[in-house]
Amino acid sequence: MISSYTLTVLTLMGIWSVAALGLNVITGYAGQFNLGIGVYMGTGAYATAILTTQAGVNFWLALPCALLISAAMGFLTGLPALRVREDALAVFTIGLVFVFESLLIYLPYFGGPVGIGRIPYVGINGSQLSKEGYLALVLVALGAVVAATIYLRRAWMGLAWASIRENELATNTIGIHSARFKLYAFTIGATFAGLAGVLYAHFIHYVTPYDFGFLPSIYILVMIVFGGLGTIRGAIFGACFLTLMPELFRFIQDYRNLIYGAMLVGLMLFEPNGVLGDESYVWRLILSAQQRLNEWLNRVSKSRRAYSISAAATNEIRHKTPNSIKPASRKILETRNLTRRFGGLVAVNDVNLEVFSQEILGIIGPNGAGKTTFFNLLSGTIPCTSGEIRLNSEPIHRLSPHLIAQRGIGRTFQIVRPFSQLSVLDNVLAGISARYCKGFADSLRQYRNSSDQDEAHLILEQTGLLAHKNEVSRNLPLGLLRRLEIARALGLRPNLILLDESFSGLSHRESQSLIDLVRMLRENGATIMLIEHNMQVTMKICDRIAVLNYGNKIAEGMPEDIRNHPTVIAAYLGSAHHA
Amino acid sequence: MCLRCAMAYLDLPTGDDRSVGPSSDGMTRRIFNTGLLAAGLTASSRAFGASSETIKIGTFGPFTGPAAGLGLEAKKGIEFAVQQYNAKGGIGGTKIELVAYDDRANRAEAVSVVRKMIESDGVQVIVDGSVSLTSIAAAPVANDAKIPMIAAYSNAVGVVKGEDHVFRWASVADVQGYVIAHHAMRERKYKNFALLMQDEEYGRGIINGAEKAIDALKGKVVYKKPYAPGEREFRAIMTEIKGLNVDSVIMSGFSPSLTSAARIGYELEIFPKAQFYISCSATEINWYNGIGQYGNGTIASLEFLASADHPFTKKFVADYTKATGEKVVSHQAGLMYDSSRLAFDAIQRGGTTADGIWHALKETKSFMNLSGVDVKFTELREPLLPIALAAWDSSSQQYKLVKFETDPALIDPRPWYKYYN
Amino acid sequence: MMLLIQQLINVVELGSIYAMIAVGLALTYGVLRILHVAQAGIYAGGGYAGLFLYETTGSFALALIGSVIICGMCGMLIERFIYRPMLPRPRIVALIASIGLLICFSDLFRIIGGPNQLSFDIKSLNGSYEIGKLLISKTDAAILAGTVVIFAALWFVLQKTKLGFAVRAAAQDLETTQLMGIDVSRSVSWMFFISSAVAAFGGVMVGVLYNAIYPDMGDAIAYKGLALIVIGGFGSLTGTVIASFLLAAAEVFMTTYTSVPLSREAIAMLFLVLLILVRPQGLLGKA
Repeated sequence: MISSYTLTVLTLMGIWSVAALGLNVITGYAGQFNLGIGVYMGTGAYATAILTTQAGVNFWLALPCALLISAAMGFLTGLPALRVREDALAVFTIGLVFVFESLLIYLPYFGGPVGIGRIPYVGINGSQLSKEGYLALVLVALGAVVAATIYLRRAWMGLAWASIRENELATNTIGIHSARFKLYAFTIGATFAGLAGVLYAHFIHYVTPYDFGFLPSIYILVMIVFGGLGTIRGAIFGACFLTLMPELFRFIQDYRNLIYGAMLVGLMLFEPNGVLGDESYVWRLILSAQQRLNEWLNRVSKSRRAYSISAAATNEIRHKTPNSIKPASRKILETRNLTRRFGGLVAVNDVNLEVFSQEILGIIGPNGAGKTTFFNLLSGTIPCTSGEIRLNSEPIHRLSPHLIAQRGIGRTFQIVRPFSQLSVLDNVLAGISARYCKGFADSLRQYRNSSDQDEAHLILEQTGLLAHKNEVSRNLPLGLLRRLEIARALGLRPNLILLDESFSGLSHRESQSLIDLVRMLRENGATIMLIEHNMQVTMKICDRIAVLNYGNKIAEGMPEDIRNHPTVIAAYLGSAHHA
Repeated sequence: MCLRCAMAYLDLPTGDDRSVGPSSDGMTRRIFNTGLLAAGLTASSRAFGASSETIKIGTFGPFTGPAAGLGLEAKKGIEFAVQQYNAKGGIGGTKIELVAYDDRANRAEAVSVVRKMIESDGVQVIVDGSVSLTSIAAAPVANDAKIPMIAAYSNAVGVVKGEDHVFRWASVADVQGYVIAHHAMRERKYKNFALLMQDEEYGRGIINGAEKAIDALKGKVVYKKPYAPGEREFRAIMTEIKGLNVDSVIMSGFSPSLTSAARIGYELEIFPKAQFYISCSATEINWYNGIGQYGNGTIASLEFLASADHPFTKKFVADYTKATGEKVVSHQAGLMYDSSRLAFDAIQRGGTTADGIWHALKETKSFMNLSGVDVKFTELREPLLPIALAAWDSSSQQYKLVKFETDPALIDPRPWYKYYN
Repeated sequence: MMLLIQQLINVVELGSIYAMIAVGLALTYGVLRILHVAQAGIYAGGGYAGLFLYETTGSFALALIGSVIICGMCGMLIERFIYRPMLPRPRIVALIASIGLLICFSDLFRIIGGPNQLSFDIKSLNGSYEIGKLLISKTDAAILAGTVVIFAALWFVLQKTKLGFAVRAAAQDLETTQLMGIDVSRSVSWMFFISSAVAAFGGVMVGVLYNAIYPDMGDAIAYKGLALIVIGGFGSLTGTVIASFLLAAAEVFMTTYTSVPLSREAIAMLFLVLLILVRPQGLLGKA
């Protein structure tokens, strides 16, 4: 027989776990700082409180309504939150929770500062649920939330969230609309937190505005960071431990806050990944133990078969790649009078350029010539001031980056922007995900066991990364990261690939193999534009070269023509003099 | 002994085994070392009996966190009462064992600790030393377990309403405002009022009471302003009031706000030209610490008067200051002391079981509070508490009695119930 | 008219207090990109240290200077031993540590000084100056004078000294500044000294103003400070100061002309939320 005190603590642990998992979706998965999760928990709690007390609605009807209202709250507060990021978002969410709290106090219908009391017990078929029954209900809810979280993490949506968390700009350039997925994260996280609020309201039978204010929100954030941000086990462990801790330390109850604060500082100093985070000491211990166990099991049973791509799949995928868009020398991209000003500075001035299919076009120029800005305009990461860009004769310069990417322009970055915490394979899968991330329902499909795995493996094979597929990309050397960015862009099945100084910082051998890769991509039907400083590489690899200087296109032509072009030589010598 | 108590809390082995918990080095060790000190403080009161017959009494309140000032004062009140009774040999030979838990003014935690003290500790009666919103959440727990609970200073009606086993030793907030406004108009003949209302149930109640009286006696509210709890910046509001030439300002709120408003009001020379009336939080420690040279003549509505001229009061104040080292009997300590005595009295009459205590409490007709006044009980399980109107004397730094309001027509809490659902 | 002028004085008064906290936050944010919530603990610590020194020495000037120096050094220690190891980590790490630190601070003050407010009564600052029909209390005058002195000094340090140059350069681009051979870590250290010292000054003065030193006296102002640096445009000192005075004006006139009992944090936060809807980069922030 468990005492009802123990039941109380267990139930609270379950409720806080649900809330923590809600915040985990927003902050852990999608990487959006949110210090105001109390808003959503409070929305759920107040919704069910009002529905069951003032409207006299049954709990089982109030529950879905409250969840819907919380979801709507997540969506509505997510909209303005899209305008800010990182620290500003953090402070903005603090603002939300304070405003929410005062609205509850000030507006009528919410019971003012004393809140709403006499929230009924939950009943099934008219009989009141016992304390054990309520704990069971909370555990069922927790199970459902865990299952939903696992499902989401393994869906394309989860991959999109991870991409946004790791690098939002890069996410847009692989065709994922980051704003939309941030909104999904807010909405889903808010629903989970709202569920926690409903469970809290029917457990304490009393809600006040202060239950869901700033400090409770912070406590929930602390739970997920404490346990390990972005992991289910971490969120649950954090919630349970930090609910249990004040009870365990009750014998020194006068010092509990001090211990709590000191523990946070200490943990952040010595184990910033959280107790059970992916990189934490404890978790690595567990993983290595697991690995040893697996090795032992493997020795006992037969070793596992390595992943292999079926021949049929290979053919099918090859068929899908733009190989078929021959003949060559069709014009695929065109810029007309393309201009971009930053204040008084004209970074790109009146540039007209045509790009033909399956060519390798080099963009060169001294430092500050506007080459990267030019790429940024083509990929839509910054808007142009005037002029236009046409892809296959359609104007694309008004489109946002993810739409441009979806039309088949992939790119890499001068300073690499891989999704550092994801494995190499997941980076490539993220590149593929754009085609599933156009609608809500599609993005819920699972990515682990799909034919897209075959495509990803094929891309890895092409780019020579197959051997590294399970490595976390943060640990790769620069040469492989540059390849990884190309591999990720290939996930789009692009017609045009923009390579921004992909050769810089590479050894001779690495350059050589990258040149082979670029050539092979062209053979497979892609068109390539590349910015390069290394003249040797440029001359060797490019079919044509365009030269930019101070934002102007000063020359265009075959490599040997450019080599001897007087204006180009003057520009380079000039810049050499300046430098 | 203390170590044993600490261990018992954690269900850890209390024998002579060397190891404390899983690892006896580093962090754990240090936590335990600091813990022992604290355990000594909280557990000493638990350690009284255990030998012959004892009765366990539970209390909870915010002993840490932002509201700790209230909870710790309440704890002093009950600890002093327990000490006093145990020194006399307990209640009819039965020693009292106090179980005190911190709730940090957190509702979920209050629910946990009340369940804990009922089930793990087996308390027979609870004297609630927590704030209104926490008490409201805890009351149903005690009620469901049929353990009588006395709320010491929760003015919110929701604490007792509908909870058969919950009693209280405090007035309904509205009564104080009603008494203040009657005094201002009947005896001081004031006509024009400015009202400052702390925007939560306690503050709203007092101002509601005052408004009803002002309405009935044909006074005039010239200015009314709500403010958020915890506010200390009253410059803008007082500057406005200064231009209005009111006869009197009535303010509800907690002591930090009352103190700050009084200071700025006197600094801007609004008071004592206009009479300043404040609510019962005026005897919280923050007022004594913060008012300084200001505030002379401010009239507070109090639920007991420590400077009352009754032998019982004089002895209590002398003993209390000697035992605790405190210079003043704060609002929470005083009410908690009376609530504890009420509980002990019920044990005396009803025996040491929860049921007996409950019946005894229900049958209480009247009880003498620490100001030496016999206080009647209503059928709503709360007293017809007389209100002491007392003026602050800044030279002696204490409140001096102006009037004991005992008129049942003014102090009856029952008419105000209709404002609360 | 008199009322309006008196209220304007109140605005300047409140604005100065807010600016003292927010500028420190903006400085630390500008360079390290850390939301230094624990600044509130330093602020309260300033109050406690000042009170302790005043009671032991009996001299307010000594208490003020002592408290400013002690808290400045505390700030340096926090930067050196807590924030610096966390710089390579995700930003949330330093934020959580800062919150933990604030919890520690307030609880420590509660344990040392008790949960209730302590009196910080400076007899020589009691009473007020009368100018025509206007009343300005001596404490107010002292706060205004102190603010002017502090901001003048701050301006001088930031604009005219090597340290100021290093801090401003580091705020622009930390890595480049390091490459230029400037000892950034020392500058950052001193910057923490300065911002903590300013906060301590604020803590002492506000403690005297309300005659109250209490454990969580910094909490409200910390949240408000965060709002202010976002409103001002992250890291922009001028923007933060302007935001402080605007907020003070909003609070004073909101309490004067409306009966909406929003807590002061809520007013600041409402201001913040509305501003972000129109101008996400803040008042003086760059888009």
